[in-house]
Amino acid sequence: MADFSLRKWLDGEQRLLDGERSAVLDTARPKPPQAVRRRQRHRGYLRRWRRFYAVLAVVTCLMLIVALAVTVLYLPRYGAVEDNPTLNGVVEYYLRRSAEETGAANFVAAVVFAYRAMDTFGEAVVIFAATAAVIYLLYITDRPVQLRPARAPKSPRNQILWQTVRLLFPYIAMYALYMICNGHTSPGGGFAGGAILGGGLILWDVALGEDRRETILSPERAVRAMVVCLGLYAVLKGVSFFAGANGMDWHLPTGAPGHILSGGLILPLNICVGVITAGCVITAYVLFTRAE
Amino acid sequence: MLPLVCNLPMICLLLSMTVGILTALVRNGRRAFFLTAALLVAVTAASAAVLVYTWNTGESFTYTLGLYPTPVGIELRAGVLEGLLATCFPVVMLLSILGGYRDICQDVPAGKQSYYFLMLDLLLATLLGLIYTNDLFTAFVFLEVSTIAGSCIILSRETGETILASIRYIIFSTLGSGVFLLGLAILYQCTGHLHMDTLHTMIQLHQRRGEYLLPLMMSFGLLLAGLAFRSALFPFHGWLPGSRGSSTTASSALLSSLFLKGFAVMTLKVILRVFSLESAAEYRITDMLFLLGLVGMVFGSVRALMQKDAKRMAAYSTVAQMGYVYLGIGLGSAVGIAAAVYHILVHAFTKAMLFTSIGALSGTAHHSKRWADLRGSGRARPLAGAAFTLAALSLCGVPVLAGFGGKYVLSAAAFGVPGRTAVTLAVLVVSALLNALYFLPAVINIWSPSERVETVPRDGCYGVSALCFLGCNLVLGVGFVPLTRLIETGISMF
Amino acid sequence: MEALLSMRYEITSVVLFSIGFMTLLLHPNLIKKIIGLNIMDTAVYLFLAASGYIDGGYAPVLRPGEDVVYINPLPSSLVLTGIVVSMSVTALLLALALRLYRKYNSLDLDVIVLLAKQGKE
Repeated sequence: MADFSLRKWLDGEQRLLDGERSAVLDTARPKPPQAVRRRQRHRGYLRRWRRFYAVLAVVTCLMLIVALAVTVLYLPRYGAVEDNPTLNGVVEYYLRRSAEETGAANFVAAVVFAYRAMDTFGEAVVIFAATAAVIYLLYITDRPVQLRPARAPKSPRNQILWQTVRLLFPYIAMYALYMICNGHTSPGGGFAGGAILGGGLILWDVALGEDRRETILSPERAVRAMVVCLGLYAVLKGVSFFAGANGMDWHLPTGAPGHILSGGLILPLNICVGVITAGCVITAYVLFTRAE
Repeated sequence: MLPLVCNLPMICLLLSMTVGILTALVRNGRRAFFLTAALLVAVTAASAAVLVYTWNTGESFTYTLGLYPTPVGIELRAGVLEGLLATCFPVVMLLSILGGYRDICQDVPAGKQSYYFLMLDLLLATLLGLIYTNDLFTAFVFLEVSTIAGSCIILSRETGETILASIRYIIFSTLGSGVFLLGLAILYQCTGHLHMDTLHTMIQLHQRRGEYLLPLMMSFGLLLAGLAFRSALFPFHGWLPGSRGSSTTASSALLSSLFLKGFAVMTLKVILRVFSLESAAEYRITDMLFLLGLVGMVFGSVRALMQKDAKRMAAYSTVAQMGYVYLGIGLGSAVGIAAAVYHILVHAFTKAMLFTSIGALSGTAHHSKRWADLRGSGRARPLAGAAFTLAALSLCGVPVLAGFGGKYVLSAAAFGVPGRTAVTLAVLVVSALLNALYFLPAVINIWSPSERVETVPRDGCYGVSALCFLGCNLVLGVGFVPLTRLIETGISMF
Repeated sequence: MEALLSMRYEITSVVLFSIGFMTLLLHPNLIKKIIGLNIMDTAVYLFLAASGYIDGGYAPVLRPGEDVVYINPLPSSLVLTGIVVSMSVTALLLALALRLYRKYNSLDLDVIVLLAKQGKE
């Protein structure tokens, strides 16, 4: 039973799961004998198939490891300066010219929001689509879903948590805002800052007590904010794509790299992205914990 | 200043995403439907303009997104082939939604309908993105948008089965995109670019110098494997039947006829634009695709033969039809690839027609899709019955219908590749026979008399869509000579 | 051996990728499948990020007046995009897992498949 020991190695609680599984299968519904026989046959088939599948997967995986490891040895050495095809004109261009061209001191922000802006818009759409999908799955069903308290009503609020969060939250929010607004001058940016802001909002919501029906930001409002920000993003980038491709020299003043009011479009885009990410995080949390 | 037409691909792409985003604010499902339909009409018209423009100028154009020229920035690229695909895909989408609109109203809860159309808009954006993109990483981002949109489209009807199907789909597709991204990372390490044309030059350079051959081969394999996961090529088709079998009519039609095709087009781009046909042949990748295509054709048909459920049968038939597409690519010649593209179009129109007519027929049998319940349904809805019959005949390869065109072009292409002619022709014949073997009893079944058939109210939307599908099918079945010439022109400037 | 050591990040990410891949394929528990998926994605991001490093390079934020070597900013931005994308997919998968759990009271895919089959009978 190579398969069995491998599974045991992979996962300590397999026996528990097996027990639970047989309990579910046996007590599910009383069945006439031929159905039981059919089920047994089915389970036998399933077990055999699973074993075959496991062996196949392990073999595939080992082959993949070996093939990839050999491939890796043929790649340019880690951190190489010579003989490294990735250090080409493009990187040179980003490092030499992007600060002056986009006004952003953070090269990654310049690449993300100016040179490869379409990817980033697609990425923001992915976040929005995921939020919409979570809402689609958990919030709207056949009848309107009510958000319910995560705990029984009137359960006492956790005072230690509440006092700590009351002290901490302003700093968390401030740090998140700092990160969002300084995305073009220092590491960070809309995605990271938005995630921190969303985390802070979750903490605030937990500390307010889980016995309330209302949340600090309802899914409807979050979606509305996200739609406004994405719409703004699409318009700004649409205009800049159009102008750029048609050779019109349209852009916001770039300012001095390192200054907060610099980077042209990057600052407003970072703010939009921050709102979108925070909206996604808080909506997912609210729906995971409270939707019936 | 570019001609205005050149802006259209970018505008279509941004418009479909923006309309999708705005649909989240629309509460009313009907309004969302009209918004999506208007978007589809607009995109079709714009893409047709791109097609005509590129046909007239005789060359493709690139469109820089923003101020920065490639390889520093990113760009879109449009030629005859891109224009043709971007014109046909929204048409199929519009007709499928129209044909399945009544089922959408019934299956999708009222509050969810606007979100359902949101996901359809994003699906359109993905297809356009995959068609027009000229950058591998942009393709990856669109791959991920399609993962999310696709899973919600599968989940249109909420049963345990669809949730399971959706999870299986996401697991397969994230596996696919993970593998794709790994391939992309390796390719980036040995070339330093993501822009397809520059990548092509760099790869040619490396191959001439004999450097990085193993990583190049590995990344080629990984990129194609990732896309094969997504487009349900034979050994990776496990997620397909469940997800088609249980969701609403329009979802099954769209997922079978369009969704997989975006990735097939991307496969073409990876083979033709990033690498080249010669290196694909050298790395034995065309042989592999040819073999998998052959096995997929037979396997899909045999499994379809064993199904008791109409939709699952059609889903397995999709596995077989994807086999045709990869067979065409695997022939390894420009003609073969043109045949594959032609088959993509044929299958898009025919399979969408088949699925919508199954949806309409099952309206007479309490939405059951089992053959036993569908008995005699063709008599209750003659138009749907006729559409089903014609789609089935088309897939069997009866002349004048689209499927015949596809098979003809494919066998003509096979004659150009000496070593593979006999095998291709034999499997084509076997597959056509198998198709006939499972479609003909189905056709006889829906037309045979039965007492227990409900009468259903007339469905104008379905009528229009069925007639349009029929028209397109005839066009594809009769006009394959000019159409393949169009596609070959497109491939020569691809 | 030398080569293996110098490519340690890449090798690690390959091993991590396979671990994630195997967990995703073999584990019947849905949550662990999702974790496997995340491990797999993270491995690819490690691979990409490692490809951007340059010996002695600084983080790619402009240091005015200093003539220093920066690392390659492009892989970093690709990783940024990738992380966000995989976070979104994870959120979607978790929502699906939640729905399945509410319906079948189990996260074991084998049990769920059997229960779904019974429901159909």
